[in-house]
Amino acid sequence: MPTENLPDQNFDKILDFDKIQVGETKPKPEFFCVGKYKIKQKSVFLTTGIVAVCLIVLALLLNTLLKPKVKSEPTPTPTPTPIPTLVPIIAPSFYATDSAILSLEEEIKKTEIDLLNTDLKESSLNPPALDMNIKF
Amino acid sequence: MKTLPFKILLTIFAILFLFCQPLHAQNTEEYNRAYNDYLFSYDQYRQAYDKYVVAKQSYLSYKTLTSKTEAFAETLKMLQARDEVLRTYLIALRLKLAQTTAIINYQQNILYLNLDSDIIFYNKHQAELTSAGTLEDLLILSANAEKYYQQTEVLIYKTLAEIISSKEVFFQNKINEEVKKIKDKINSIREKGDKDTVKAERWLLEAENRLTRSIEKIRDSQQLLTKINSFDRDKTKLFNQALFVLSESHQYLKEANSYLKELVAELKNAD
Repeated sequence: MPTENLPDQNFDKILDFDKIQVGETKPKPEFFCVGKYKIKQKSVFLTTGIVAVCLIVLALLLNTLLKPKVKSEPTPTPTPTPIPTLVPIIAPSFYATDSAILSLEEEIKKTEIDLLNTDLKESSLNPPALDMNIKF
Repeated sequence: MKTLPFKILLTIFAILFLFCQPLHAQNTEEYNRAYNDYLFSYDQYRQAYDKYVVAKQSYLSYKTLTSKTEAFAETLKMLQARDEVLRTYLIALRLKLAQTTAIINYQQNILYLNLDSDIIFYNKHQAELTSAGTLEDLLILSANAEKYYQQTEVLIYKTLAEIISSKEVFFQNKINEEVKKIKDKINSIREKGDKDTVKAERWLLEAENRLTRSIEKIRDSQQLLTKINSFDRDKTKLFNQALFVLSESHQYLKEANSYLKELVAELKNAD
């Protein structure tokens, strides 16, 4: 019997049809083959994930440690400045305590307040809005 | 026994002092009451006016006897409310004039007389409205009031301007008194010779100058007000112009007072 037309008799390669699910063409490989070595897929994925996370954490740490520090300056406190008066009293004269001058000063201040508070327009007494054109 | 009449007099004086209110406070109370009456009557007028508008629209749409009767009733109420508003407003205005002006002059006397006659007119007109039998009679009476209101409006603006001018005149007199006192003080300081008064005298001239300008502005505003007459369609415009001029007068008064304040500070300063 000629042997060239005989089918492959390697029975190890034959698929076990009882175990194969419908729609599935071939089983998923569980190993990566690297040359002569077989490495489990699960271990590869796990190792890659751990390494990636470690790298990210290391990058963040390096970023914070190696960032150039900004020198913090103390916040400036406002220095009190004198409020300028109309005519600053540099040196009081003899009349600084004169009763007539002081009473005049009070009068002028009171007039100033009254002038500011005066309602010049008397808007509360505006003429009432009435219809003065009654027609049918 | 000799001290008894004195004790009686003292008791009578104390009783009078306790029970007699100051005139100014009484004037303010009267004005506040009159002003509240005016606000109340204005509110009543607005309500009556809304009903009048509805009744008028209804009559103009349907032209029935019922709608005409309704329109007549609502128009009557509205016109009476309108007269009441004007009457109470003029009373409040009169009391405000009395409150603001201290010494009555000729111009103010004229205003009081005119205000009184207008108050009587609107009171009388309110009573006349009740005698109207038809809607047409009401419209005739309303037209009479509307024609009369042309001169009432002029009176209102003149009275308002007089109230504001009186305030300005009050401040002018006050600042004028201050100027006199400071002038007397400067003169006495100059006579003593213990302080240089040249600067103070120069500043006093500036203050007096501002006071003079304020007085001129009041005269200008009064000139503007004489131009308002009953035939003007826009009386408010002229009144606002007069008001603007019065505000300029007020500004000059503020400046004059401010200069006096500086002057006093200068007198308190050593050379």
